[in-house]
Amino acid sequence: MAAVAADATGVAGADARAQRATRGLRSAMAQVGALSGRSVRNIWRQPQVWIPSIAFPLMFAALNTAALGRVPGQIADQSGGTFHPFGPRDVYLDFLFVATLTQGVLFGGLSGGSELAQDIESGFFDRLVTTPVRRASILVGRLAGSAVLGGVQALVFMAVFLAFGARVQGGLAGAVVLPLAAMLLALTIGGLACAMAIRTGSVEAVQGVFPLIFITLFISSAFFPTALMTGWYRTVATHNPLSTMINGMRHQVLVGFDLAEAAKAVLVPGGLATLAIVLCLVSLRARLAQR
Amino acid sequence: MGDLPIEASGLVRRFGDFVAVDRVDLAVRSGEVFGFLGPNGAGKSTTVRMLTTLLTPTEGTARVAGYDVVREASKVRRAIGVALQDAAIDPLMTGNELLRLQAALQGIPRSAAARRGAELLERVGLTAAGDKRVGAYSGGMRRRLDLALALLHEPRVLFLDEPTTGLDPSSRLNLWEEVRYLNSELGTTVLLTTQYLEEADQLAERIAIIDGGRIVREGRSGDLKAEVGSPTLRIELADGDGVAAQAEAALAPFGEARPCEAGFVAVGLSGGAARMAEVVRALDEVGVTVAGMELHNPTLDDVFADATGRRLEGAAEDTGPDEAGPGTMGSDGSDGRGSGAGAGPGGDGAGPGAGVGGSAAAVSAGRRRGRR
Amino acid sequence: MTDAAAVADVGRQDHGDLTGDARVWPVAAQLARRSIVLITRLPSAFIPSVVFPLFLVIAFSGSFDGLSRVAFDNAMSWYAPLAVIQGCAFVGVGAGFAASREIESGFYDRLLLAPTPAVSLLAGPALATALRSIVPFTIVIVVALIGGAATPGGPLALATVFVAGLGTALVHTFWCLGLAYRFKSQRAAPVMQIGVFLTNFLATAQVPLGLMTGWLHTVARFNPMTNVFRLGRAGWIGEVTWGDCWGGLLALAVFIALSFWFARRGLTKMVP
Repeated sequence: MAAVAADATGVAGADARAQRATRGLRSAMAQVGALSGRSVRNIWRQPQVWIPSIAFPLMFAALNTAALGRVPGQIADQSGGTFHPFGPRDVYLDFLFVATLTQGVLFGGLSGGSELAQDIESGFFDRLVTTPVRRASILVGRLAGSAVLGGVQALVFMAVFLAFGARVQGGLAGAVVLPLAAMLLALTIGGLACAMAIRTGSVEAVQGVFPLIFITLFISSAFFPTALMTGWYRTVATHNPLSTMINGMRHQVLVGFDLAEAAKAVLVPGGLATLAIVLCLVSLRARLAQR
Repeated sequence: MGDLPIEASGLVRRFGDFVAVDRVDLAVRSGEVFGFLGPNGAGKSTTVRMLTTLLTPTEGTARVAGYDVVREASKVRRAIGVALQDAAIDPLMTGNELLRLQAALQGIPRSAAARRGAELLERVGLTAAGDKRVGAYSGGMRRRLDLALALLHEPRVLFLDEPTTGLDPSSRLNLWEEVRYLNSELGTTVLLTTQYLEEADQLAERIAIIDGGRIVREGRSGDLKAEVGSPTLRIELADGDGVAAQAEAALAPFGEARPCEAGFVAVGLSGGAARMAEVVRALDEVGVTVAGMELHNPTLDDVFADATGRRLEGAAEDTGPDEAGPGTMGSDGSDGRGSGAGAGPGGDGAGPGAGVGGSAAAVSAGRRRGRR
Repeated sequence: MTDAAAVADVGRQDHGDLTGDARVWPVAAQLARRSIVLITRLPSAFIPSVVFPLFLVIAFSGSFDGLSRVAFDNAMSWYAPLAVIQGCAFVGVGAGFAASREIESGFYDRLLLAPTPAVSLLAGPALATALRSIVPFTIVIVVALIGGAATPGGPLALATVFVAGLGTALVHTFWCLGLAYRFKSQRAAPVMQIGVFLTNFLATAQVPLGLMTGWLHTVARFNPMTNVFRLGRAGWIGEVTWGDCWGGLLALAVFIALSFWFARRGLTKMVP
């Protein structure tokens, strides 16, 4: 009798735990949903945040295409048609597509961190952490805005480049890889910016990351093939993880869909995003421990 | 226009459709401290910016130190010293560096500048801090440095735009002392803008009250207060605004209604304190319960209220101790300066300062006065 | 002193007439001195004008090294003058930023209230810009020479690029001061920065005219900055010839005059 009662109690306890877990998950989802919605809305309501991250890369793309448009053909001609570092079609616009996308996402991704730093400066962050909301929900919610912006940027850039004659040789499968990689890259940058925001609480410090991102982008295969670089610069650019990601994405555009290259395009930013989010959570824990 | 250090006639400044300064006439006499009193946004700083050549008037003319502020701007600049609002001083520079820069800007020879700079730093008590960056200065130190910079070239006319805004009481008193010294010892003509009633009352021989870009009253502090006439009886209604109409009707025979905040009624009590008991009876007869009463002599705030129908912003904090306190009538001196305001309780005209029901404001006023 | 001023003087005791006519150069020198001193006090405002050209010369010559196969012989020689000119332009932009900041904080009122000719308020920053321009020039040239830049024109190559950089710095100083006087706030900053990018990158900043296509080729052909780059690269890409220099010198002279007029007019509009 006692055993039956104990069993019954155990079953009831397990049920209660399961119910609590379900409730907890629902509540966490609701929190993430609400905070993500706020983050996306905030970005949307500040055109000064998202317009430059779309307009400036496109402006540079127009400039670079007009400046360097002849280069792929000339290089190929010099080698007697055997060397195509800009892709089989020798079209700089195709080559530049992924660079523009990456540039836009890197700059736009900073907005998540800047927004969080603004929340910290304004005291809104304190209000959030004094509520029973999960700490991780705050971060995921904040980063969702950056990821959505990254995906939207990828689609806008794709539309513009296709309209101007670029081709995605990888077809639909290749085209899907690009926004996916863009969103993961946005999460990486957003995560790093958020970690910086949490550590410093300063919008200025977050925006101070900008030159570093610019340097990382430039010393990569983004704007020119590493095959045409020399010396230490080539070594650094070749080993830059951004180059690995860019080359994976670019393969979908210039050559065609390839699973191994697609994996590089997605796993590199995915891994970096995971690291960035962990860094964020550690920073948050450290910040809250200081209170 | 006559030969006055500061004269303005029909001065107007518009920003788009907004009229910041509307037909302002000014005549500041030589050796005088002239107070320009008004709430935030009244047009004080805009007027000062026009008089100091930083802003071109939309209409009207002004002469400072005998020169036209538009046509002879450079001569005006040579004759004036200006300490602008917020003491805009580069926080990265040291006091001495700023003095050297100011000397160059004023065309003062280097040797004279060094001597004069040292004298001024000593005068404003900043000799030890001369080589420190201004960023490390307190608010009071910045204002004093700003004043020293404004005085470096021994100006004939000094403009001080809200010189004590944001300062603690002790720094404010120090700065007042400086202004008094400049005026009484050196004869410098001073135009001072302020939103503090007490400051205007303490320092200025004559005051212009500005509101909505227009000068609504001008004259000696004492004269302005006298124009308001009878002391104000402010009555707190136990039942709030609901009985205000009844109360006002009952008070009508005692004098004209005066503006006041919600939950109170106020009347200019003809006959003074002697009639307070009558007032209580009259209110009692119409069923109005009095929570508290306070009689005070006319203040600059009353002058402002009389002219505009509103109280000066922040007047409650500012006038509490020294102006609105009971029993200041008679101790105020006719020129509105010196020990007048806040000279202590129990003047000769308003014995029962806090009559029926007492007054927290009056009590706190007494305490604050004691501290000064 | 007029009679009126004499009347105004009544009541003063023993006031010596300290104020004289503030002349242009002492005031300009004092303002320039302040600007130089502030480098050490607010390095964050100056660091970009050092780091950015350094990055530019390394990143461009590294990324576009492959262009030496089709466009020029030595990428470092091509991009070093760009980095100097761009760096100097940003020194000029810095003067505009500083003026915007000081107008917003009210400090600039102190300068406007001085009985000094308005031109000294322009000459001061211009003098400071000239001095500050030495920093990006020196750093870029040292890095470029270490990094393998060739100067077929010999020491004259240093003179051409310095003149091009200095002239560009002055143009941007006056242009940005003019913007600061009109905007009267730091909102002018993006306009100032974009001005540098547009004028430079719509010229032969990145690649030679012959490599450009379409609209950019047309714009760059008529953009006077193309002449300035030609001046700056004289001695770096081939010998120094008068043919490479005169166009840039003329463009700089005209633009310095125009931007000075723009700034002077802005200042006059700001105060009577």
